[in-house]
Amino acid sequence: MKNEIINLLPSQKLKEKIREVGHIFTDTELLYIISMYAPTFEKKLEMLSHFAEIASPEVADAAHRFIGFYKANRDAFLAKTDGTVFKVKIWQDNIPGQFEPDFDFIAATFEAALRGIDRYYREYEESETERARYKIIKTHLFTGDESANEEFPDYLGECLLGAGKIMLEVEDESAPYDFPDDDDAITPYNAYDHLAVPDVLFNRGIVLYELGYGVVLLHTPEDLSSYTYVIPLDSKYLTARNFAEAWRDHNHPYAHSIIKTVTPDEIPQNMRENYFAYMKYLDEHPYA
Amino acid sequence: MHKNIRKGDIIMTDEIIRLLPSKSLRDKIRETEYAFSEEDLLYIIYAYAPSDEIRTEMLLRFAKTASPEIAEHARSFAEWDKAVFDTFRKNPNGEIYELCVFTPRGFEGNSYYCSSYPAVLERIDLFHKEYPCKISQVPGKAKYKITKLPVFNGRNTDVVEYYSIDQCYLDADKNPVYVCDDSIIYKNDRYCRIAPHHVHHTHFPCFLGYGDLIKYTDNNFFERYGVCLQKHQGPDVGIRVLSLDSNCAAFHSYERLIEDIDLILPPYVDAASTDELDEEKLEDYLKFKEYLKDHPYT
Repeated sequence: MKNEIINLLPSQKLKEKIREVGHIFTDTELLYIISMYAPTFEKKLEMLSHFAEIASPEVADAAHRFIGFYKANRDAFLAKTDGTVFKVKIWQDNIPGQFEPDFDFIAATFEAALRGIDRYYREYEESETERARYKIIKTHLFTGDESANEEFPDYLGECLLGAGKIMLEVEDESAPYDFPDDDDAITPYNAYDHLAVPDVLFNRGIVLYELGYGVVLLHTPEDLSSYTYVIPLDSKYLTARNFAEAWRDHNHPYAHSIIKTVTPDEIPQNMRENYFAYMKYLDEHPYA
Repeated sequence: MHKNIRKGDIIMTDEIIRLLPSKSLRDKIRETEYAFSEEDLLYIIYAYAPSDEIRTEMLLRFAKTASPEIAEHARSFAEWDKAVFDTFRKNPNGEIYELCVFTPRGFEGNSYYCSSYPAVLERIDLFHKEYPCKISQVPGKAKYKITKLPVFNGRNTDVVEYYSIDQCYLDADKNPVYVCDDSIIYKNDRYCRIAPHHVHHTHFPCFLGYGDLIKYTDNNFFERYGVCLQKHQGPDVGIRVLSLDSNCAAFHSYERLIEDIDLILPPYVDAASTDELDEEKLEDYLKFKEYLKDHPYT
């Protein structure tokens, strides 16, 4: 099962490195990998349940609590609630976060949101691809009848669906979060910060991460910390050749979340131009 | 130029010219004693009155002194305005309203969804209770953008459409600055015929030169400094300008100049002086002027 869990990590190169160096993850880290990278929501519940059978008692207990928390989020999101609407965003063939949606609309209910997605394909005579993604955001509908002291967060939760409208992720702000507020505790929200992986990145290497292509800088090989420093290759500063200000656009993607490492030949032409121009600048300004 | 203003209309003509936001343009009109046709004046009232209320009042007053044909148009335009705003405020098919609030830095990040137009007005008040900010510091006249959106309930037969051009911009007092509700056109042939979209473009005297420093209101109602990239030739079509807030101007990188150019109607443009610019913007302006010497924009 451990191999099955390691296989969930997005980067092929990272997985090869893990095997090559015989890197060993703790039970807690394996639990975090499942919770972050299981391919679908149902698969995550299934894997957590199986993992609980082989994990240490403490981690097994945490896995069961994770399952309870995720189910509570799903149930709260799908529950019929008055005074809400659902904003639906459709990406036909792109990764959310990197591109604006191809289409979006407002639906009265979650069921209507699903029907609206079907309808989109019918009306535009398009076919769903494996890469299709749908984000459904539940928001409060303000009527003016809310009492003066009533708390009503406008954002209530969201759900990400993949091809076939299979649920990938879901969260609902109203779901009870019954975990200690402690950085060292095993909690769903500590997962991202507590997963160290062997290093496969290098300075000036190009990576594909959740926001697109970027160049890795300030990287130290011995550093196993869980996040890195990346300048997006479509940064407006790079495009405007204002390299001295490029640091303003930096991101800190987690090293374990890097989707893949790529060569300049594999990225779009405008980003390749930005990359080479920026590298030339860094050669000429080594302390920039 | 047309010259068919009748005796006794001079005072109203002055009042109409004062509606033009650009002082430079108004000065030029006076200096050259530029004469507008009745059609031009009608269009100026319609396009540049500061609020719906003033627009309607002026259109009806103008109709009393204008020739019969233009008077009929003026009354139609007034009727159109009222009908559009009334239509926008009603949501018979369960449409909802998305509220976006402008702040001094641009759009406030969140959108708020409201079940009715009165609820939007209450949400605005609540926003200011939650996030006290000086709305008067928001540049430009429009402080709120409201979009009317259809809601798909799984059964409606209309097209599932999120993007809507049924929009309304409100000023600080929540009065409409601009309203558009296209559903009125599709539902009523008469309104389709009288819609003021068909009004001709007004001719204005030339008052701007190539490379001039200007101050203007952009298409999102933000006030900006920029550079005029063409001599204004007269007809009320957009002037090409480069904002000093654009990436191109701010980073002195003009390779993608064409991507940053705005098209602005002349009455929203004023001549500006370099004294009005801060040090950074002045440098950006001078650098760009220098660039234009060697790379004239055509």
